[in-house]
Amino acid sequence: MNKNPNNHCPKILTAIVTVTFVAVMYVNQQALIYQMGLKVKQNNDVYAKLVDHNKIMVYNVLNLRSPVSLGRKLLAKEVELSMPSKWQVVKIDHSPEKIVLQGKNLANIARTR
Amino acid sequence: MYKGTPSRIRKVLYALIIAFGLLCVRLVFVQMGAAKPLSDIASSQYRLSVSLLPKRGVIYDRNLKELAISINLSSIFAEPFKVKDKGPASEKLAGVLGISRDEIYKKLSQERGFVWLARKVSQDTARKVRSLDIKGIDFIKEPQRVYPNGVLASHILGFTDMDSNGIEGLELRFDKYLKGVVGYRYAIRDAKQREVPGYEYKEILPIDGDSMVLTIDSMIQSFAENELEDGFKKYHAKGACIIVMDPYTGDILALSNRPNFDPNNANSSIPDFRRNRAVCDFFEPGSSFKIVAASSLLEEKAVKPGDKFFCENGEYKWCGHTYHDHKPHGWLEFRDVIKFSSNIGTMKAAQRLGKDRLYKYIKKFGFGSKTGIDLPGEVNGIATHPSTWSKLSLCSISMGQEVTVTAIQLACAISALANGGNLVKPRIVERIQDRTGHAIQKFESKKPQRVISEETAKEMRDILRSVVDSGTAQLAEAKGYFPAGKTGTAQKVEPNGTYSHRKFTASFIGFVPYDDPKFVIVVIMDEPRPIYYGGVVCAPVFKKVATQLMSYSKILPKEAEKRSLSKR
Repeated sequence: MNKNPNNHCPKILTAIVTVTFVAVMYVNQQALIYQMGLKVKQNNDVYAKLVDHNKIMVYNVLNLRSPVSLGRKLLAKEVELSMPSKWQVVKIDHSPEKIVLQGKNLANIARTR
Repeated sequence: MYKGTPSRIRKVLYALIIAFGLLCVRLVFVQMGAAKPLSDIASSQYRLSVSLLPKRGVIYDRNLKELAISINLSSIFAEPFKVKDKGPASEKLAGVLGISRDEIYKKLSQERGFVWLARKVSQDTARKVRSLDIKGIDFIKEPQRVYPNGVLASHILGFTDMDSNGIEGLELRFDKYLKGVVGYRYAIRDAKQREVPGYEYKEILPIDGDSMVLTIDSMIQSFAENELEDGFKKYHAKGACIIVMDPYTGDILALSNRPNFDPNNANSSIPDFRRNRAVCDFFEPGSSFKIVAASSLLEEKAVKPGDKFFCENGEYKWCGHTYHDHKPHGWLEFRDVIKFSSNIGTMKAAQRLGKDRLYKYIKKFGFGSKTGIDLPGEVNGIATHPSTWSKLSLCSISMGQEVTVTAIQLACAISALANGGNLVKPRIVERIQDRTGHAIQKFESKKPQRVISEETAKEMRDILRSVVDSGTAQLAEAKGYFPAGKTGTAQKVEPNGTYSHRKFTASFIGFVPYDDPKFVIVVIMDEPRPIYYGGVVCAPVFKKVATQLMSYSKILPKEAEKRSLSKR
């Protein structure tokens, strides 16, 4: 058996290199996890911001088309709406053939012309 | 091995062994005795728990139009110890936030780790504050409840507080469904107290609140509110309310009160304006209540519509008390007693019924007890037992005095006449559904209770049609739609217990069309001035709402006329 202590060097070196490599890899892995987490967080923040913005825009649209808001605008512009008179009402039946105006069949009127 | 060791070295060695031994003892002591508190201190230094707020459920109308939604807004806070130049920082923030410089300076000078500067500010304000780039000023997103239709249906919806807890209306009643469950994320923070991304070790996701679908139709609500507003302003009333209801299902299609408030800014409103008068206020109904006496008389066959009563030419003494009619009448048939709203004719007819039978029908029509509508604060009204009645009570109650009711009770009672004699339970919430739209609770219409027979109901509908056609409610006539109803003008009771000659409650309760009722409408005005008659103040509101409702339902006046004539 070779009892020269110098013969242990390669083993110790190998162990040191291995441990160092594993440690570096571990640190690298942690750094990557952090980076990825940061990226996910940033993306989430952007997504949340867009969702919030979208919700506010939806609210604005709902607000604009609400009966209260529309009524107020018409009032401000002095536009007065009234219910139509009987002669102004055209009732369209489900079938396109039957377009009835005050009891008269418009389709027939069109044909006679 | 130690034989040759000098004694000094040996002493040092012993000293080290003793020191090591003491360290071991200390270690054991720390591990055994103080491990938990020390571990907690360590955890609190590097662990972080973040609340994940759930989304509050949406409130929809019956056509799934949003009535209440939640949006996220920025709240601005400060960490005072991090803010260096507090004076200039306060100056800058005051300009943007619209708060006085001194107030902000006071907040920044506090010896606290966290202080709110402004909560739930607009996007624009948040952007301006962010652009100031002041160290120690930061933002948190907080959900804010918003109502896109503003004042529309405010008394039904209610509102929430700063922390999104329901305070009034359906927001309060169904808070447990709407608010959801808060979630948490447990993460690690660095030395600067920032969350370390990617190191969450536990996450409990929030459960979003359920949504609600109401029976309200926002268009009908809008019609009703606009017309009520006009009437309320025109007659300088102290208060007013309107209810539009489906007489067959009890679905509330619209319910509104005046004065009202904007739930988007509820805190700045007067508390009295936030009261839902339709369910929380009771009042003496006056002649509107004659429908109860008339229905019970006809149902019990105590009178026939053609029976004649002498109305004493407008003045009648009974048990030492003088009763008056609005206009003097001589002999009137019973149907005309109701048509012209004769107090004297009604009280004479009520004598044939007696206390107990009248009381039985008052209860059957649902007066004196809650209707069970899903709105907070509903009151019973007062309908006392005949054992407590005086000699005058039978007469007074038959004409709507000595009894108090709510608007929602009147709506239910008139619905019973409209739908053929069944008392329906009012319903305002159709269903509660989860985020996917799956119904988790349905509020089905309850089986109605029969109050009067179909024949009596039809007779009453004919009589009430004559009230509009040629009686006290001619201003309610929506041409071509043939509405029916009953007016009411009740004197209010003064604090000294006497009936007022200046303060009145005007009402009109009716339905349209009379032969095939689609809608029940109740209009109440509290202390209208200078005119106070229900037939003048409330009937025109009814007419306008009824006309719009029928058009909205695509029923043309002519069609209604045709149908009405063909049924005659």
